[in-house]
Amino acid sequence: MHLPSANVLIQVALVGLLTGGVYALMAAGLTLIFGVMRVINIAHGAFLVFSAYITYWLFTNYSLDPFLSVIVTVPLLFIIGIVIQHFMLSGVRNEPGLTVLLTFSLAIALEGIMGTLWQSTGRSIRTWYTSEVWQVNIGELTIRLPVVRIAGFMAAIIALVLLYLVLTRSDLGRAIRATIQNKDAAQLVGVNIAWVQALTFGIGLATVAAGGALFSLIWTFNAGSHEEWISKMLSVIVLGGMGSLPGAFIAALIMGLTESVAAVAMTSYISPIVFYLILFLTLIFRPQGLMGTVIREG
Amino acid sequence: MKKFFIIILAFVFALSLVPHSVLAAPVLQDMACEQDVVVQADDWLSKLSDKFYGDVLAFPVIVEATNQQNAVDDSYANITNADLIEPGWKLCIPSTTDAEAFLGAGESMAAAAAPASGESITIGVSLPLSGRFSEPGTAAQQGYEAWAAIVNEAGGLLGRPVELTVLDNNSDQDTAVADYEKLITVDNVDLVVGPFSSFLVIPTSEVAARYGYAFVEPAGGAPDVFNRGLSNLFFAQPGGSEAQGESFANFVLALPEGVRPQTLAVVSQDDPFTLGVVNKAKELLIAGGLDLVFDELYAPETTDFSAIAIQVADLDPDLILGGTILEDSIGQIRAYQEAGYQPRGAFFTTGPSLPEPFKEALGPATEGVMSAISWYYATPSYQNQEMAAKYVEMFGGEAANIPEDTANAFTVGQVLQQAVEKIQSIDNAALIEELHQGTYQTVVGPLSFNEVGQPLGSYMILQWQGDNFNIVVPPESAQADPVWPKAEW
Amino acid sequence: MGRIIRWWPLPVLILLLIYPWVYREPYFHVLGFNVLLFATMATSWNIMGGYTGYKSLGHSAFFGLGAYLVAIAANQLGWNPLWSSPILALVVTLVAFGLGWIMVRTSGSAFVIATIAMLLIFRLLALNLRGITNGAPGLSQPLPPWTPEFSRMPFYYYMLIWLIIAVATSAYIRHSRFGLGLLAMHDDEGKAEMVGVHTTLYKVLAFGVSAYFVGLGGGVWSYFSTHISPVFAFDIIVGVEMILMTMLGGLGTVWGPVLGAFIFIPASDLILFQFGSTTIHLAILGGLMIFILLFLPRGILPTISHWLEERRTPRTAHTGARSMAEMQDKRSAAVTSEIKPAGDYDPVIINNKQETL
Repeated sequence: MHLPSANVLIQVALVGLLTGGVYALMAAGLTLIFGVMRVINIAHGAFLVFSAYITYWLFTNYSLDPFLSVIVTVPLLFIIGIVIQHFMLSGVRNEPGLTVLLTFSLAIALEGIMGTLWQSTGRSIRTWYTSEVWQVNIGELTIRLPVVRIAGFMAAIIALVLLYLVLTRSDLGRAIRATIQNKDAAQLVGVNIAWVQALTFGIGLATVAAGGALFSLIWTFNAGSHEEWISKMLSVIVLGGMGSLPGAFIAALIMGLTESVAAVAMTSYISPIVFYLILFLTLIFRPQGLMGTVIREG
Repeated sequence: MKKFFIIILAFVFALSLVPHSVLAAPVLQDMACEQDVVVQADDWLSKLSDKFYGDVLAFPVIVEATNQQNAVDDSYANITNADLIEPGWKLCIPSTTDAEAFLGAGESMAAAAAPASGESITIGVSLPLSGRFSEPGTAAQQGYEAWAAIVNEAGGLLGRPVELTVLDNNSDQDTAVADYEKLITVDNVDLVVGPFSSFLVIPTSEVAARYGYAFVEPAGGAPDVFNRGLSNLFFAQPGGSEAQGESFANFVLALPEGVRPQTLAVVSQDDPFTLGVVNKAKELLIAGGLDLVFDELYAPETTDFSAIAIQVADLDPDLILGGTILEDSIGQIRAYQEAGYQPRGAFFTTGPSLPEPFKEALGPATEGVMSAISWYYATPSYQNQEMAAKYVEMFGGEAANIPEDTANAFTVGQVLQQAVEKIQSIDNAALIEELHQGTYQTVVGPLSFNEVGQPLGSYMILQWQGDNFNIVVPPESAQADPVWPKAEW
Repeated sequence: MGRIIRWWPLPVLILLLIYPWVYREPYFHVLGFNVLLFATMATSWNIMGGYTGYKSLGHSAFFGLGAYLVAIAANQLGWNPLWSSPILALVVTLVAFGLGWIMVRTSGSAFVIATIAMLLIFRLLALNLRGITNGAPGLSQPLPPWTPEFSRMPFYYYMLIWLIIAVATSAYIRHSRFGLGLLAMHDDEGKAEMVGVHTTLYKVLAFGVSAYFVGLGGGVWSYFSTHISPVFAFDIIVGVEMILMTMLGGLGTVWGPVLGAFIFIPASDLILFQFGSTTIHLAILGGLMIFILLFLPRGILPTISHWLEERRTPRTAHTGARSMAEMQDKRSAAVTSEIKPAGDYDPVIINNKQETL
């Protein structure tokens, strides 16, 4: 390991933080789904890639800017989410191993379908602002922040704030939070658990649709990319505490930062190991993460 | 409820199956004879086809329909050579709609109706049509198919039609190996040709070796391909991957004193081919006095280069050597743009040589980027014009956008064909012996191989200038002069 | 009739022995080898995933570890994989003991994800330790010394021997005190601990034993394939297929994984060559798993034995006798296959448990 120059370190850290914001948006739905349903949706990564493909398709065929394509993708994935939860997940015993396997199978099936539909060339979107940079000079330090990542960060913040408002201010949000705290008690006070679960899954996938739009602008992807991304998202929510939205946000920022710094301190070849180690060790020694409540199975 | 879900699931899977049924080979329709015709003196098939269909090129319809009828009724003629029909022969003329349907049913039908006759020669290949090598893999398939079409139209190989069996290995070594095992032991193909990428060539050549098959391949030039001492392997490009690195290094070292770069960065994916190129170039450039300031390896399929780019930008080397395939060449360049790194020269192993996707992804950022290439569409090499015409006819587009990998696959076909015709046999052992001795005329120039199948030739250097790239080295093939330093991206 | 049926392994064994001579083409030998390989590994996985209920999704970590250990030993030390595989598989088992001990505190979903993380770490290490593993391009071994004529047959018979050993091991465990303890833990870990089962020790033991044949399989596979690389040696799909086969045949039974392998591998091969595309294969694999998980969660064997139980239990008169029969059904079903994993707090389950007690 070697320590890079201050210039590089600051630059890399800032880009990492911005990226972390995008990670937060991607992982928000995952942590919500776990909180409400105790289901670890391994297919979250596959749905992320799926939204990216839809965004790409809209962009190449209709010149629809990815930031605008959420008008299409968010409702679409919301509906898909409700359908999947209702028909596939609700009928199944909520045994943790079983649901992980089920969502994992869904991810594989999705990968197969996407691969067949779009082949495996790496896709990416090039807009007029793709390689644009916002340059800031502080003293002798020059900071260059890619516009897409800044926009991504801001979009993520907006989306997360919206989500947070829904959760805290709306009736549905209250029902969701009640379910997260104690499913049986919530049922007792009249919350329709089946609907809450279905809607939550829908909201979870809807947020990943927004994440997918940002994702398609920043990175290249193909049908097989989901494996790498679900690992990142799992690390984020485990570190943050499964079920906690603020936890996921903080953890995502930490992860983005750590990933970038690790890539320059070691090599980018081995730097993902930081993610996996954090995931592994958190699961073993502090399964509730930073801000989650202690889960009985943990 | 569950039933509903099953239906959805079934529908979704049906969706995924659709493209494949579309790709299924067209079925030969049984054509009824709208009328019969007795050949007169001075008739020939194209004249008759012009008379009945208004198209001289529609004669294969008549050949096919007549032969179909001959199978059940031998008052009809049996046409084995479309150039030769005798007066008094009875021919079957299907309706125009049937004729159009037949002709529209694909190139393979036309090939089957060509004069090549007898039992076909089967050639098996497993290509990465999906997975990380899908772009060049598909290009290679097109090269093989164009070659087979040209051969069959010209009368086949040793007078017999050539039949290609193409399998998709998803850029997966295990699948590729299993594919070749199946092709050789179950399908019993006569010959095999190689897949794209050293990564796949290395294990699959061993399968061919096990069964004594000649293995001429279009894209496996890494050092590891040759240092196993296999005698059945032949690499159909001007040189191994090291030769690419060498060509570029020689170019750089030949630049005049004030212009020549002083510092060098190497950023490569962990792949035998890319490493073969950049390591050789790195070695020669360091020996020639350049300073290596940054050297990093990354996992194949990496998509985020921001951390690497920021470090490279900070060090600002004159020359960047990227060991890449298509997607990561794009990823690296974008990341360098964002990091504000403007090198004086940039070289990428693959990416720049695939004109369409490279341009689509980068736009004006392609300017000045260099790569090594084995083939160029405008070079007057053997059958180059024919290949370009056939490619455009079969796959559309322009000759200038034909991927290099297509030409490399085509070269494999040429080498194989000339070797087979030289010894008038498809016996693999004899072919292997001949391939070690002969020199073959190809679209990448004359090729001959050493005892481990390494070709003895050198590469051209290309540089993007404007809308496409030009050959800039060596001078005798060059269209334009190299530009150094390159424009900003 | 029942007594004759009990000896069914014998004719099946004879069929397996003559199979390579009846079907001479190497393609069939390859298929046979794959079936035996996965049957062995699924049986191994089942010891942890089926008996104990801790479903490891990252078991291909041991597969890859075995593959690399054997390949490196073959290249550096000249050890022939046929005898080095069983020995190096012990090293894999030791590693599994260590990892199992670290992971002993996790359960449920946490355990599953931890095993995925474990696999990813192994893969990353294999990619990065290029001095040992040669990184992404992978590692080749010398070809087997026997002539091309027999090229795959020795692998087939070798694997058959190990399948028999693996199944024997699984059966032995199943009917031993150790196995009983594992099943009890599967049912309710807290209560098992109370009754005196050394849950920690048993978990670690089961994890280690379950890794042995998988590591061995990896070693043999590396010799069989000649060339291995990190992405395919540490492929999560290999582990997933082990699970799928086990669930198909019957989770927690001795022969379930074997049956599952014998059905799944030929079917998968057929689909692959029918469509020629691995993306479609992946879609179908995923779909199949979803189907099995939703509609056949117990697998084939337990479902069949359940039907047989239903038929054998006399349906006599009302209330007393019938409810006794039903209770007996539920009890036997609960013990063999309606097992809920430790730690699930769905209130309905608690009711069931009270019933069986």
